[in-house]
Amino acid sequence: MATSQEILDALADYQTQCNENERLRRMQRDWTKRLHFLATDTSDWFTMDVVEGEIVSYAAGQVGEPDVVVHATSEDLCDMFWGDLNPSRKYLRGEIIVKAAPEDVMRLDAITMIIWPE
Amino acid sequence: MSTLRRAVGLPTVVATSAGLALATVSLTANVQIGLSLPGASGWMAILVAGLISVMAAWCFAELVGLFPTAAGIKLFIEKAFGERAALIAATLYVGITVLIVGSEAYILANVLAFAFPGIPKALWVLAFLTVMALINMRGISLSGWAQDLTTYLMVLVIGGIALWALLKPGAPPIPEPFRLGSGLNLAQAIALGVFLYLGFEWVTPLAEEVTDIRLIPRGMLLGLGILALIYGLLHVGMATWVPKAELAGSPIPHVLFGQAALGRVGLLLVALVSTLASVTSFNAGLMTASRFLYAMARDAAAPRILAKLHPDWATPWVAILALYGLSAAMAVYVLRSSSYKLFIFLGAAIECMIFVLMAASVIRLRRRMPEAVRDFRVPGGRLVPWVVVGLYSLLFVLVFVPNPDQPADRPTQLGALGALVGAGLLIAAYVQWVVPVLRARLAATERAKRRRRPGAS
Repeated sequence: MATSQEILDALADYQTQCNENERLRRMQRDWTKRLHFLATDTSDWFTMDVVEGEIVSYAAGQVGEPDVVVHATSEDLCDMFWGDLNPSRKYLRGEIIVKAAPEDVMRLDAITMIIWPE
Repeated sequence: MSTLRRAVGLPTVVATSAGLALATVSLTANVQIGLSLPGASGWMAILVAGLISVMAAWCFAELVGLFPTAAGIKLFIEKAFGERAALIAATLYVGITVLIVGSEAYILANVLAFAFPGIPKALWVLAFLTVMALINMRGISLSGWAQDLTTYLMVLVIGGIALWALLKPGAPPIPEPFRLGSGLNLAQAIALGVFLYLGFEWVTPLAEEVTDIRLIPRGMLLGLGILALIYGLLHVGMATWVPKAELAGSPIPHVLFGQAALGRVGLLLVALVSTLASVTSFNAGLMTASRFLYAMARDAAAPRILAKLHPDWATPWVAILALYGLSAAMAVYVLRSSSYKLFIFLGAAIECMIFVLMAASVIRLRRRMPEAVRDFRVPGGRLVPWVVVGLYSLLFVLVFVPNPDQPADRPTQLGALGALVGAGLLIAAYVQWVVPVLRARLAATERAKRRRRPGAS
């Protein structure tokens, strides 16, 4: 089980990786969304704001109305933000649940694929 | 609990369920259902097929309530019967749906060539497929309100034309609307009637966007009701206004009906509805299929190249191009052979097969996960899922049973059976021998990769 602080540390690295990736910034330049993440085993919430492909902020808790809501275990969230986990595989097995429009689900997966290609 | 900023409500769920099933090829198939039945009585087979689809919809609803995800059919089967069965069934289902696109493009080309003579059918096919592929490549999908508008417009136009044609002064009397004919003919008509509803279950990915998961079963039921009503009205209208021999020999019976009942205005209105029906169903079909291929590639169940994303639009462009090529090849095949009926048999059979698998998954998962929270339960315990398994297994067989009253269909039925078995075996072999190789390669890459998470081994 990952703690809230571990997930926030992972988010900090995720923000750097995403914002420094030119290819990803180009692909996501028209993507402005608010994302909520729920760690299902600890009931911790996290909010991330993306503006034109740039992660401008992240914080613990639920802030505002989201466009995307991701439910996963704290371990999976942590591994996903560190790039140690293929979210598609977990999603296909129903272990990560995403509530969003299909194009946003795709964009979310695209982030992992671009910054940590297999 | 977080509620999405732009959550989907009931009108959009209904519009998506009805709109995705309402394809041009369904309007043509509508006539095929009644060819072996007397007069206009085919509407009864359409209604019965719709009623029994309600039971299948309940099964889908229970599974969506259990796993509210767009991963849908593959995930349901995987949880019940394992990954191998899920990969085979889902790939077969998505693959055959893509093949049906060939018929869709062929029939739409016939509609447009009839409405606007002078432009070759092949050009219409190519233009339609290319435009749809480009729209998908750009990542443009119908927003909720656009789906609502197109579906309800199609329903109003088809229902309105059919009602007007049947009720207007001087309309011919409806021929034998309640005479059933032989048992085999009726049962086979019901089996083919299943094809008309193919796609209503594609609403299940909306589980990730709805305000309340219970909207999915409600929306599917209302969608099925709308489809049964307008398909029934259209069937009676066509059988009343156009001689059966003429309907039987034409790939565009609905256009002939529009013209017979309302002249040039009717023809153009039906052509408009056909185009809208093709655009909505094909766009959604291509989007679903390309994302399915992308997800399979990301999961090392398909070649990695299919997971390539467009650098500007974040769409799976290689998967879209592959499906575009397959659809175009199918459309050319249908254009050359005019064998669009093969895909109606194939579509009806695959839909029956998927319904059987969904009901069987409900039964299996009730045993495996009895305590899991279900937002919707099929009423009547296990009776309904078992009825669905039995009924749709029977209808599946009936799709291929030779009918003495329709000897011309026999080669088509055999062709459809051969295509289904061949595709099934090919996919099973792929899953058995190729997927493990792809998975082993991915596992080797992952083993070689250093974990980034601090403290992780």
